[in-house]
Amino acid sequence: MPATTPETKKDAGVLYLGIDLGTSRTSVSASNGVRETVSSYVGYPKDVVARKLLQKDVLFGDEALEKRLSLDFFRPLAHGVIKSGVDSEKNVKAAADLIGEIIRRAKPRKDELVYAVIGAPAQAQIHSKKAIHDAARQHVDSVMICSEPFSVAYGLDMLDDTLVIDIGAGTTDLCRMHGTMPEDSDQLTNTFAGDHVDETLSKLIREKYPEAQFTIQMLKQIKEKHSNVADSMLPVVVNLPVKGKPTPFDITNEIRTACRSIVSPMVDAIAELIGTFDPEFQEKLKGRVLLGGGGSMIKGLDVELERQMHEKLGGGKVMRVEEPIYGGSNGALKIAHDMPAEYWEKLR
Amino acid sequence: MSFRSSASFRGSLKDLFTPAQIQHLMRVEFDRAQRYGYPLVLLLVGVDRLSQLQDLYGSELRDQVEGALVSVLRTSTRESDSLGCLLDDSIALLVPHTPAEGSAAMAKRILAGMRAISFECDGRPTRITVSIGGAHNNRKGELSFETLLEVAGEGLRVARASGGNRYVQSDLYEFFEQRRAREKAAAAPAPAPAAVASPPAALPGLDPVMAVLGDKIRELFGLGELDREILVRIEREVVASALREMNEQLERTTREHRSEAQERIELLERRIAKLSESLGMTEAELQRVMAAKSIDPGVASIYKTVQGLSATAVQAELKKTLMSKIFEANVEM
Repeated sequence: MPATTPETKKDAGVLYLGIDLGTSRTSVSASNGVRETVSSYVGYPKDVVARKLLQKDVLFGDEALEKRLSLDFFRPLAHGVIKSGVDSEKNVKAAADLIGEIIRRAKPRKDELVYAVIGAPAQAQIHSKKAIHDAARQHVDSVMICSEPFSVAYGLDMLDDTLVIDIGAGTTDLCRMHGTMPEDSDQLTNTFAGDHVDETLSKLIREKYPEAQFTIQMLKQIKEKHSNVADSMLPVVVNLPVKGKPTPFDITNEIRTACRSIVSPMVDAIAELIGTFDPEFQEKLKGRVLLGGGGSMIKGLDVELERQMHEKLGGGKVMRVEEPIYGGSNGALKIAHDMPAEYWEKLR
Repeated sequence: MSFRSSASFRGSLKDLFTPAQIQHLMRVEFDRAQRYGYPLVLLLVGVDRLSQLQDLYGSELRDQVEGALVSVLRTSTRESDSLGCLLDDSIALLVPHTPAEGSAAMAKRILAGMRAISFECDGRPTRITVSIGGAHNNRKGELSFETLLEVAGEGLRVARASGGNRYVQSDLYEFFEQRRAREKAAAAPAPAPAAVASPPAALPGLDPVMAVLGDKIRELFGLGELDREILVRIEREVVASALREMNEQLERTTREHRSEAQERIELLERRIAKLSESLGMTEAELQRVMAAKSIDPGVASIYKTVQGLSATAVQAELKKTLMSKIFEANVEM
């Protein structure tokens, strides 16, 4: 890794990395053609026995999730930033290891300079960005942090009159693009995102089927498969254990209600950003709402958003990015590519 | 029969006479044979294309081959025969009380013995042959030990030049004796100037055929009292003959040089092929070791240098400003 072997001569090339460090999923797009994504889970063997069994010092992603009973298990990011409070240091370490892992998966060569741009939530506090920066700095030669929705817009060359909505697991970031660098007043972040859908779904199922046994993780998988906000949708019947016996439950309405729970706050945020924008350009902004992030894969979301925007704002046009998983990392990669050499040098 | 001896060349020759010892012994034995009139045979044995084999497969194979040759020579000869190495990569074998015909049988045994051995070169069985030159003392007239040695050496040279794996008994005793006599005379103090100038003596090291031709010319011009017409005719014939001989010699030399160059090219091509194969195997082995140790060399980036924003990019000025602001925000952080 670059930071641990500074004596390695790096004259073979320059590898750019665009990283989308997400609460649920971390993705990388690299200038060597590699694109990888890993669930943002990190686990360390609990004891010597677990270490011997797992044959690894640290596990990531779905492997960590699968073996979590033998691990000190971390989901180091919450609301798009490194968790603080209890186990703060451990979370920082887990985040650093996660960034190291996603960089390793990008297959950098030891003789190449590695320059990375990492997307962070629009309104992340400066100390949160600093924590991400420090964690990444151990693994790359130079790193920059930028706003996640901005990187999505930059990747698609939609820098004018566009309202970008990046729906992640921890946060939904909204960013108003109007031909300049978005300021704080151009960005909004709320926590009505993927995790909120999971919690709502859990609450609704528990109310309706108190005998059903499940975990948030199980619900997350169900949501990723069946998420939908449309009025008419295929019935969602899933098997959940009841005292050990798999039992079918119809959760069609619960899924729809849970997924719709993020739409209204989203429309409120859109209304706020549009309402505070130059009146002359409000119509243009309403007509170019861009949905990105994993949450944009909820079926019918664009139509439902347009419907509610029509009710509250008198109209609107919503588009989806083509690659929700890599939209952020692709944009960050483009920023890394366009960044002048002297800027990278100064930050080394 | 397969030979995988680890005996080195030097080790194999430890039991043989050194060049000085064998020459001394051979000279004593030769003098004794001449005095008491018993037959004696000298064989010079050399491995065919030994230096090329060493170039291709290393000195280990050379040691093995020479070890095997010493073993074959030991089993094909008597205790009383003298065996020793000479300086020019050949082994001398002096066989007393043996007629010329007997030496041919012995040489055949040695040739067959070497052919029966299979050597392993890069895992493939390879046959390696020897060439043998022979000389004997069963002839009338003057004969020195040096001539015997030179005749055997000439036989070895001819056997090698003819493709190897053969025994050649040369019959150039007279030629070498004459040459020796001439060299001796040239080395002696210069005699008083003769009344009639004689043609210059043949140069040492001249091709045997050309030397004989030179002798004939000298003989002819030494007749003195011939008719002028005959002399002119003889001169013409001699000149024509000499020119013909020179042309043939030139062609022969050119052919030999071409052949040598071709052999060298083939050798180099084989060496390149072998090195390429070794390189491929080494690379494959490195990949295997890296895979076994989970070492990933990585995937090379498409960029060799830092890129930066292109002047022709869409909204280039705006993007330039945006890059600057991102940078400033990071510096501030």
